[in-house]
Amino acid sequence: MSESTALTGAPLLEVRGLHVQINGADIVENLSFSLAAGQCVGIVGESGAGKSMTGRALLGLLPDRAVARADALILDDMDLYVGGSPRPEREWLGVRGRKIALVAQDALVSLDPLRTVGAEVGEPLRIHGLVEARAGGQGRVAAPSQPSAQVPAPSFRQKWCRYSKNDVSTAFFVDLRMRDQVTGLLARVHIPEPERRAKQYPHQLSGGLRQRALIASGLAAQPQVLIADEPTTALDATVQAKVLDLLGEIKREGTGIVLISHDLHVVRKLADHVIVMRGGAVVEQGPASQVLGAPTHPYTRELLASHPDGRPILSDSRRPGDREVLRGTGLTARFALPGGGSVTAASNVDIVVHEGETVGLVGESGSGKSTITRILLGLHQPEAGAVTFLGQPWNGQPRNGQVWNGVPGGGPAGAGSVDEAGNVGGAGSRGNRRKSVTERERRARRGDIQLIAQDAHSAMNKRWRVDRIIAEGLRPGEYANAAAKAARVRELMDAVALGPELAGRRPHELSGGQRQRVAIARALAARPKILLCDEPVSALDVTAAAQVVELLAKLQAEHGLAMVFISHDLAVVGQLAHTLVVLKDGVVVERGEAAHVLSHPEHPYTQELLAASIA
Amino acid sequence: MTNIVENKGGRTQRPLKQRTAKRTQRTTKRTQRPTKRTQRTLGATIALILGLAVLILLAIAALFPHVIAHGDPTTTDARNVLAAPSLAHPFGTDQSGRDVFTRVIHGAGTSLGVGLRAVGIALVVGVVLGALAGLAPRWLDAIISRIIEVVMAFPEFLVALLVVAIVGKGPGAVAFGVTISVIPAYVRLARVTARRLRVAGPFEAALILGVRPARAALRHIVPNVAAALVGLAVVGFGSAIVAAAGLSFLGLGVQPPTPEWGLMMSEGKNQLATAWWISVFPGLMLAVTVVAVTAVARPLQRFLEGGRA
Repeated sequence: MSESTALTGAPLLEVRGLHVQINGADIVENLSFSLAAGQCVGIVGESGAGKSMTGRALLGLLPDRAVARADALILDDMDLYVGGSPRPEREWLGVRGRKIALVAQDALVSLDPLRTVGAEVGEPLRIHGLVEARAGGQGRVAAPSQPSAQVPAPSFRQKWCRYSKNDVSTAFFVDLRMRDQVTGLLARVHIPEPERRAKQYPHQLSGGLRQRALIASGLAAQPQVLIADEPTTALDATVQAKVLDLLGEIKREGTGIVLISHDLHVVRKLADHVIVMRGGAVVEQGPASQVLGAPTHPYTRELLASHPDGRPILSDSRRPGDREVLRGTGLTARFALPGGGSVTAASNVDIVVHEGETVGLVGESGSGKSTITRILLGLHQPEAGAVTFLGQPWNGQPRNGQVWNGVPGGGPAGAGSVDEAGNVGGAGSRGNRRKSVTERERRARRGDIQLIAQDAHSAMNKRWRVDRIIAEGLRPGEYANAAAKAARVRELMDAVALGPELAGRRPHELSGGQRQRVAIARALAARPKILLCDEPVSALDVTAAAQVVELLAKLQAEHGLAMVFISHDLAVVGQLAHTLVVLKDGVVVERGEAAHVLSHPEHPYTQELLAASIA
Repeated sequence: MTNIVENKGGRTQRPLKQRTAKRTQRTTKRTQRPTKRTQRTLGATIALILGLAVLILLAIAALFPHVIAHGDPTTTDARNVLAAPSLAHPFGTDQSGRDVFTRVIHGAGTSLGVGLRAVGIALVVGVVLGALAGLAPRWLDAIISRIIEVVMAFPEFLVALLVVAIVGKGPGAVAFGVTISVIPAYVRLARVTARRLRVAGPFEAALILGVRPARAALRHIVPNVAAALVGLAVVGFGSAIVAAAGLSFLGLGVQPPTPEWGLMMSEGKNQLATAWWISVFPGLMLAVTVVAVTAVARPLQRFLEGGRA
């Protein structure tokens, strides 16, 4: 079907004058585009730009309060918006999944945790009566040419029967009758061992495999148009590249794709036609090469410019000093698995941070970045290894016979790097092993090491106002009265470019970028010597992320802060880091000066990461 | 014996029901909050005002019953036995000719007192013990948890009965027994909530900032734990009154001539076919009370949960 359309060149999907309103506010304004078979339309914009609502309007899945109008929304010769407004829900049932399908963003949320992957993937087959063994038996899907009259919505009895009688197991497990079809679909999206995977549950699959399974489920009923709403956002860079390759393959096979993303990289790889949206309005649209190559609208240029390119910013004023701030030596962490055995999250990791220096810690999810952050913060005690802060023990315990008391800058020796401090022998040694550092010993210095977490929202008390959240970071007793405190909070808000009018807001009333600024202001309130930034911009829009990265660079330049910047994205890390440490499965595979590692990556894994993020 | 078996059934069912009720409440809130906020505010305000009005009336009835019902709740009238509701007796009269309306009003104090005391004490003990168990080192948590589990292994009613047997009869003993019997559920919920909050979020953020753990817990964990328990308390309020009534029925609490809702309900049980009003009106009052408490507690809970009231 799609091939014939492709041959005639007529558009598969044509949208003219789409409007969506919610409570009187325009969410999408006058959107028009057409999509031919084997093409991809990319919709780009920040959160709140109306991208996802557009996707939902195309599927007839808008929330009840939304009002949608369209001059025309023609999918394969069928107008889905009759007289300007969407067709009734029952008529969409035969269209959704069968002709136009959705691949949602978060595969862990979108897949039913109680059903096997195979059951999930096979569901469209069952719903649309496409299980081959009984093909033709069920007349649920109407002929495409006469839609309105012939799409009988399943009666209540039919719906009930589908899940009652002998079908009850098929809702949760792979139906034997469609096992081959499901296996074929999983194989098509390159899921290894499809037979075994079909019987597993979503939580047993990695993020990339889950996203593939979701795509397989979208493809199951062979729709002509696939709407991919941020299909790669939650994925690691290398996995992201593979999922995009898969979508490209699907596109070449003749499926039209509407790709919704905030990430220009993603859109650039796939889209033939790009629509840039902002605040519901189309800012610019046209062929991908033209929009991304020679943008005419300033907003498009801004978006393109905000995209991290891995080039260092403010490199002149951010110069690392000589004084060592934080040193982790031989950090090792293991976690026991429920079924016995253990997983090594970090194995003999060394890390040294100097004053005014940013150390970039790079790796994919599961590479041990977060565990190392927690060890450096003193929230998790390493199984082996130790952390010193300004020469003083901070976390973990030194190895046998090693002394680190009173030797500033001389931390305990890691494996294979015995230093002079370790050989002093009995000088200050009490002979027995020093006990690991307790939280009580750390407390007075707690403010010196601060964390900027990825999810700023969940790390804030939701019923507190911004000023109180920031004030929590002030050291107790530092400010005598409330007025001095308030003045300091205002100063901090100013330092992170938060307007004073935001002081009375609660976290949920802020944008993601503003929340991250509040988190930074709170961390600064404690007057830290070092900031640990754990994926601080991964959850933000490109422009907001660029601003936060700039802010961090500025703070480092002004205060000479030491920083550990943890990220999976080399393009972001490259902007800030002086030194790079690349982690894979808890092991350091490469380390060195950032500029050198980025230009001459030696380890194949670094090369792969680099190719995936700065392409 | 049959009584105990019945209560055992109720005992195992109730927490489950509460849990699902809470979950659906939370999910609907999440999905509906942004969508129907404007429409919901008006309805919520009306419910809040109505609930407050009912609670004020109940408070007057409990503290100054004579303001509303002038008569004496224990005066019998042999010529006017089992009279249907009329203008003279809006709720009818019972088998001794006592005015049911007067008795319902005068009984409010005793009944609400038991419910309030049980729920209030359980809330405080639950938050303290639960937060302690949730944040304490493993050994202390283990001790508290095992004790709670042992107590929870017995039906609530049996625990209350046991306490009354030890402490001695009387309305105070019944209130105490009911309180003890409901505490384990509160501690359990508080402990789980505290455990969940301790691994991430504002509590850990405060620790990183250098705030002392006790203070951080007080700021970021205790309010959330309390919010989680308010839902349980609202549901538990009514059942505490009913449980106290059950003990009174066995002759362990309030003695018969004294008006008390639970006692009145059980007294009227045998007359349900001929004189429904004896049981129905006290029961109705109980239902109205619980609904009013819910209406007022919802905004409170929402405020405690995230300041989005």
